[in-house]
This record gives sequence, structure tokens and C-alpha cells, in this order.
Amino acid sequence: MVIIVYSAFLFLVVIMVSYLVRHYLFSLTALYKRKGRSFYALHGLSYRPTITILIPAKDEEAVLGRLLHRITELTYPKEQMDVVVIDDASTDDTGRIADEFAGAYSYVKVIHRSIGVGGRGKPSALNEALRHAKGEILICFDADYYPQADIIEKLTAYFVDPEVGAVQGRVTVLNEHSSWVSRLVALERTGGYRVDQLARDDLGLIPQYGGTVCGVRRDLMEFLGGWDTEALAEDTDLTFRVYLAGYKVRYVNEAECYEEVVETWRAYWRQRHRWAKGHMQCCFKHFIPLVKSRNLGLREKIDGVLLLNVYFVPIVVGLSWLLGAAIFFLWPTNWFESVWNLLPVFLYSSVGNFALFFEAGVAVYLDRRVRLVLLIPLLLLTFVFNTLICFKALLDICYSKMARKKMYCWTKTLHNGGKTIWP
Amino acid sequence: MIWESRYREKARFAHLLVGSAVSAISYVFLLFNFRYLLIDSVTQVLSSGQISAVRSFATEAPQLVIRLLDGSDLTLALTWQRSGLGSLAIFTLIFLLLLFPLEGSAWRKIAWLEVGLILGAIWSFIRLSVAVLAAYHFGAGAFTIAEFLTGPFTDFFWMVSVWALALSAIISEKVNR
Repeated sequence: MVIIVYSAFLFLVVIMVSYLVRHYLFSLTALYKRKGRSFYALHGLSYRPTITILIPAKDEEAVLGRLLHRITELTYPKEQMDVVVIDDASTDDTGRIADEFAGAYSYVKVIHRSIGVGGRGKPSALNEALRHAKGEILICFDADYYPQADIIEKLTAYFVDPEVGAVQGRVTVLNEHSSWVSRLVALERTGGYRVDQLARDDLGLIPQYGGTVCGVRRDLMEFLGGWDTEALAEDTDLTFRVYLAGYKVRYVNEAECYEEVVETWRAYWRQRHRWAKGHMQCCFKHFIPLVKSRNLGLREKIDGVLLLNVYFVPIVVGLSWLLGAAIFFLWPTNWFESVWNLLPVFLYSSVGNFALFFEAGVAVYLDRRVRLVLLIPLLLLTFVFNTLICFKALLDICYSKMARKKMYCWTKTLHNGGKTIWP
Repeated sequence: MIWESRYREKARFAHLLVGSAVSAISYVFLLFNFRYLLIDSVTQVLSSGQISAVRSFATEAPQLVIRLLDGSDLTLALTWQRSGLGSLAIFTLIFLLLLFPLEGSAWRKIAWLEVGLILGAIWSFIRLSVAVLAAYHFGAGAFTIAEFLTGPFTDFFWMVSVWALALSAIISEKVNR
């Protein structure tokens, strides 16, 4: 019994160490690696594909007008673009706001979905929009986002490479000062994009398509059969489908877009719970095809496996904590005390994309954020919170499987555009 | 054209070397003196609180013998893990790997390293005192629980805090420049 518990504990430690090493390498890459993969600057650029901007919106009256107004200010040639707004069974003024813009600008089109047809989540709304899209490249924005004026040029430049199937821009938090939760999310986001995504791109691994501030080839999307309406994390799902189809995803750090993030712990829980369930769902769906695929190299496969399992890591962390405590009290030994001393390092630095402390630190250092860096110790709160969320998500999935219940249940994040503080 | 958002640094290997040397000297000093200093301080605190405590340096690890409230004696061997030397080593490693190679004044980095080691030493003293007091009042089992609760997980909180403060100082220096 003792040997089994010790072995299980050491196995969990090995998993955590592999994530620790992975993220430390990412931090070093973001800091020091000078020869990354090629990236495309705007100067001398002549590639201007036609694009369709897709904006799925359900009850987004507080923020949709701001985004549509910004889209009219984009520097990309208007004759090369069109905008499709999907009013997804909204019960507020979202549809009216979109109609006003459609009346004023010929390149804006609105699709209204009634309550019986719409409201089934973002993938379903995007599939509807896909039928109306004409551009070679589909660019997606959530309604609460606020892009840079030249963001389309920056995103589309990468499609000059025929291997690139999708691109992802950087998300920056708009309402950072609204609450402690939004500040911590800002810290997570900074670490996640400025270090994690950039390093994965530079190392030729698997940068993640994030579902918003991103672009994908329309013909590829049609070939893949559109977005998976059963997927709770349709972005992660698409990332792996793109790679399995033989294409790459590129991360464009220069293409920045502001986002309104959750401001309360309750909203944080709901959003992360959906992400956790969706990610685990993707893991069950793509793990075997990923390992077997001939379209990915060994490094991509290793990173893909680690990425797919990232929401299981907090569970590993929790289990190792419980096992460690059991050993500490029941069968303590000298060598175990040494490993136990190291355990928090593994725990705190192995929580995947939940902004492990040194990735977040390096990111705010690179972004020169003097005050934000002081919040790093408080990431312990999100760390504990995420551990609980992932445990709950796994239990929910197990229950759905056993009871043969449908897992799909879209929980929408509410946005309150009026309260945001502008950068 | 290189985008500002893809800014990369040149690792300061010279700072890393200097930091390694300073860390090694500091740590060797702690390794030979810290446990004795710690056991002396805890004994004095206990004695000032009318708690009977005796030090013993006869074995490899210094020992502390405390007479508990129920009249029994508790002997504690101050191993390097229990003394906090393990945590101080982890802190030093984190500092070396994640702060010294960055741009910024080497003096400032060294100063923060020493501040961190002093804070870590103070925390180790508080931690041990709390665990011993718990044992005195609630029995030997309470020592293990108190040691567990105030152990590595809490240790890591001060480590990351000091690292964040030092990083903030380094960023301020860059921004001001």
C-alpha cells in the first residue's frame, strides 16, 4: 500500500515537473530567443485577401455599438471586406443596433435568428454566418472586443503562407481596473499571450486559436464542415482540427484587441467551468487522432498532448496535495520531506494556462507593467479556484457520460460595456 | 522591421555569475550558522514565555527539548528541511534563474536577494515558534499539523512576493531610464 501511494505521488510529481519545464522554456523563449519563426511586417505588404468579419452577438446591446463603430474605422480597404453580425435570438436591442449600422454601411449585414432557431451557442451562430460569408478569410470578434485600427492587415498578412490555416491575435484587458478579479484575469491574459502563445509560435509548437481576434481560411472551414456545435470550447476544438487537417495556426502578438473580462468570482467560475469542460471534451475527442496523425511533427505532438491535458493539471495538483498530505502524516521519511519541500514549486508553476507565476511575471516585465507585477502572489487565489473548477468539470463530464446526458450547455458571459475604463 | 511587441532581451550572464557567487556565499553562511541561530532564538522566546526548553548540539542536527504542558518531553531535531534551509535554497534558485539574467542593476538584484533571505529566515523563525507553541499547548501531534499548515505552501507565498517586489523594482528602473 505504501509503495503504491509513494509511486502514485511520484508519478504525479513527474507530470507536474514536465509542465514546469515546459513553461520555464516558454518564459526563456519569450525573453531571449531572437531567431523565432518568420513574422510579417506591414511595410511593403501587398497581400490583401477579401475578408469577412463575423460577429456573433446575443444580448450585447451594451457593447455591440462600440465594436461596430470601431469596425467602420478599420484601415483595411472596405471594398475588400464585409461584416456579418449574427443577432443570435437576442432579447434586448442588439438587433436594432446592428440594423442601424447595416443601414448606414453597405458592407455590414445582419442575420437575425429567432428564439426557436438561435441561442444555441457561439458555434451554431458562426455556422449560420459561414453560409453568408464571401471573403477568403474569416475574422471573428466577440461583441465586447475593441480592435486596433490596423488589426486586419496584421492578421491577414500571415495567410500569405499557404500552410497557415488560422491566426490568433493578442487579447488585452480593457476593464483591468474594474475589480480584483479583472486585475488577476489581466495578469493571466498577459502571461498567456505575451509569453505562452508567443513562445509556442516561436518554437514551432501549437499556438492556440482563441475563437476571437482570430482568422481562419473560409475554404478550410468549409472543408472541416464548420464549427462543431457540440463543442463547449469550439476554439480549442478548431485548433486541433486545423492541425489534424495539415495546416498550422500562427500567433500574431502585434495584432492587439481589447477585451472586457469577467469582474466577479461567480462570473469567473461560470466562464472557466465552461472552458474546463470544453477543453476536457476536446482532450477525449482529439487525443488519439493527435498521437496517430502524420500531419504533425514529434514536437507538435508532445506540445499538443500537454496542451490538451492542461485542464487536468489542476486535478493532478489537487491529488498530489492530498497524497502528499497523507504520506506526510502517515509514513513520513527524510527523503519525502525533501520532495515535499519542492512540491509547492511544482504546484504553483504547473497550472497550465492559469498564469503560472513566472510566466505572468516575465510577461508583465516585458510589457513594463510596474504595478501589475505586484499582484503575482495573489495568483494563488485563482490557482486554488481553478483546481476546484477543474475537479467540478471532470465530475460533471463523468456524470454526463454515466447518465448518458448531453454535455452541451452554453453559459454566456455577460458584458457591461458602460462601466469599462478605457485605456 | 522589428516590432516593439516582439522585444527580446540579451541574457545578463555576468549578472548570473555574480548572483551565483553571492548566493553560494550567503547560503554557505546560512548552512553553517542558521540552524544554531534559529534554535537559540526559539529557545530564548520560549524561555521568556516561561516554557522549559533546552538546546542540544550533540547530534548532527541540533535538537530542541521542550517540556510540554502535560509534563512529557518533546525532542525536535532541526533538520535542514524543518529549519527552512530547503525553502531558502528554493528561493535562491528562483531568484537566480528568474531575476539575475534580466536587465537592470546587479546591485539592486543582490540587495533584493539578501532582503529575501533575511525575510525567509524571519519567516522560518516564526514558523518554528508557532509549531513549537502548538506542540506545547496541544501535544506532539499538533507540531506536525502546525508544521504542515505553515509549511512549504505558505513558504512559497513569501518567495513569490519577494520575487514580485524585486521584479517591480527592476521594471521601475527600466521605465525611469
